[in-house]
Amino acid sequence: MPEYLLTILTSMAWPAALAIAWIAGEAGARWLSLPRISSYCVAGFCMAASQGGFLADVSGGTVALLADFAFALILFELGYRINLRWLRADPWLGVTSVVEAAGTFAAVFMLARAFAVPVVPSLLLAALAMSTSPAAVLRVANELRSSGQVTERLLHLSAFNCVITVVVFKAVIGYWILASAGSIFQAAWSSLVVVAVSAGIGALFGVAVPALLRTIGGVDRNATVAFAVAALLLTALTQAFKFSPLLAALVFGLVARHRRVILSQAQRNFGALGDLLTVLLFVFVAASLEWKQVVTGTGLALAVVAVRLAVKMGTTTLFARLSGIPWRKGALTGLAMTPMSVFVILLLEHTRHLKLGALDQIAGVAAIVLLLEVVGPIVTQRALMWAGEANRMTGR
Amino acid sequence: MPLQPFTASAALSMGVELELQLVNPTDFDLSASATDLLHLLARAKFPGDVKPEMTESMLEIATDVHTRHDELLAQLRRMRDALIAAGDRLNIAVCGGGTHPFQRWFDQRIFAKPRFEQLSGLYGYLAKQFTIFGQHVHIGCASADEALYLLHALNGYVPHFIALSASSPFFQGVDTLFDSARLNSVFAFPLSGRAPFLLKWPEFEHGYFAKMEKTGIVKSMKDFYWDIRPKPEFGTIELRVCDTPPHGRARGRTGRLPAGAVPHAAGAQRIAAGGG
Repeated sequence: MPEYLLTILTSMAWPAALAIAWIAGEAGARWLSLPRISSYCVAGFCMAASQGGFLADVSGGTVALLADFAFALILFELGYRINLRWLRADPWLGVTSVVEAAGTFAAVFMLARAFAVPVVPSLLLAALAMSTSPAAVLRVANELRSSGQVTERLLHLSAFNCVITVVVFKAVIGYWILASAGSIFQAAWSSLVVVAVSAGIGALFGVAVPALLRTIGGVDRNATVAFAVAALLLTALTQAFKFSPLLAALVFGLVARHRRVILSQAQRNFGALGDLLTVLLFVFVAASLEWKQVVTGTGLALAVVAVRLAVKMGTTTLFARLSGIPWRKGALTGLAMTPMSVFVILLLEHTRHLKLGALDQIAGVAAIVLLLEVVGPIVTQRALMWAGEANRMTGR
Repeated sequence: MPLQPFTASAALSMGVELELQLVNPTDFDLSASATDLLHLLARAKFPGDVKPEMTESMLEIATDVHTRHDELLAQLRRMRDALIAAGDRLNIAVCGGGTHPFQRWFDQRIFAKPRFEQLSGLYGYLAKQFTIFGQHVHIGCASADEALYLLHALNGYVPHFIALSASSPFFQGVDTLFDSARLNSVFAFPLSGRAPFLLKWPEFEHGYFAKMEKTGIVKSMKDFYWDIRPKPEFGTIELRVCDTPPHGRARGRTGRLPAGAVPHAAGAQRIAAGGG
């Protein structure tokens, strides 16, 4: 009988966790004006088995696939909002992106070396630090219904630095495999081929799905479900073949946008489906962290967070006027780019099969992730509010 | 504040104001970007005048005073090119048309300027619903009385102006079955409609305006949303019923319409005055 009860309780764990996290999110939003995702993270972290909670080991399995799917929806939406023609109209945007990513990489690498972290983990840490988590920025921007230059630039720079991160991260992994195992084939496969094929599959979906929608007709009615199903398929496919679901989903959105199928307002965040999966995603990510790992790298983590913020803010401020916006909005764009957690955790999750133990090896990552997971969205939220881009009730 | 004295201007001179939509090129919804665009435009010389409007997703441009249609059109084109170039740098599209087809009025943000905030406090949700886009044509008048006469003479042509400029069939995501649905948002305001039928400026100034001012609702001519209203500081009457046309050529054309009707009305005035 107790065993039977245990099975029931185990199968209840995730739904219960989602319910608790959701309530925490609403409470945080109502009483503390916190972004909901910050509260989801705190709840998820506390409920994880490693913290004595009831959520068992979350790696692999169905929940991981669902988390990937949730993130794929977000990346698709982000990709969809990226206007590549903007790079031509304002070349300084591209310059800002490359300089902030390269600058962060260099600064964090040097910092990690100064903390006596070995070369390869330093490179990986530097690569991860370049990224701004699209999940956090997009959720916060949508929650505030913000619009304006800080919002637009934040989303574009976030998409660009994620692509740069995936490419550099895979390249470093390739180098690592080459250095440790000496297999050129495996090295090339884990880096170049993975990047190219993932982007290729994403692009293929980006062409095929809009074409299919046009054939079926009723684009405005069917688009949300069709794109969600396609994102699910894409996630399962890329995960099964060990490609990068992240890059594929981003490219999918990017190509779909340029095929001119318009997602209407109501479909932002993929509606209630997106909201539900976001709870799961953030609980999952926070639950994959262990207190032990968090504590070990705190010093390095704080330094990385500070340096990363300084480089990003410095760069966006430096190029603000050239890019046509005031200094202040430039600085706020850099500030809003603080979150990095979800992207990093899922990227690491996808290298699990390589048995590199990345999360243990790259000192400080767990601490950075937890810190920015909770604080990052709050910083983004404040930056958008300070920029006057949040949609608040006026006239009262 | 009493009514400003009427500044005489050259008869039949004209100027055009256009309210334009700022649109996000991703989903084509309105984008609250006026502050950003105005900041960028302020850094270079703009070939005309540009200013904010009620909500953050609107922008108003105005030409100088013109006496020739081709020059007016040329300036409108220069302004359009400057706006589009600035918009491209900030990923904002600039768009014509009297209404946005599917924006939701409650998503709009009031532009942070005392006047707009005061109006928003006064009119509540009507202010946000005022996210509509019109073309205003100013016609110069040599005297205040001539302006009032011309105003009422042109009132008879208001339906024509509406019909010829109509370009707002869709509103809040619905086909309204109107050709110009924009005006229904204007009519919601209590001070919209026709100007009172007064033909002498002192009568208008002391008999009507002063009385309205005492109510506390009216502070200047700007607070009247009439189809045609006098604009004493410019020495013009302002025709306000036209939708912002969807493209540049039509803009120039509708600008020309009142100019065509005016000599007709002005002639009638002279006849009425016994001048022949």
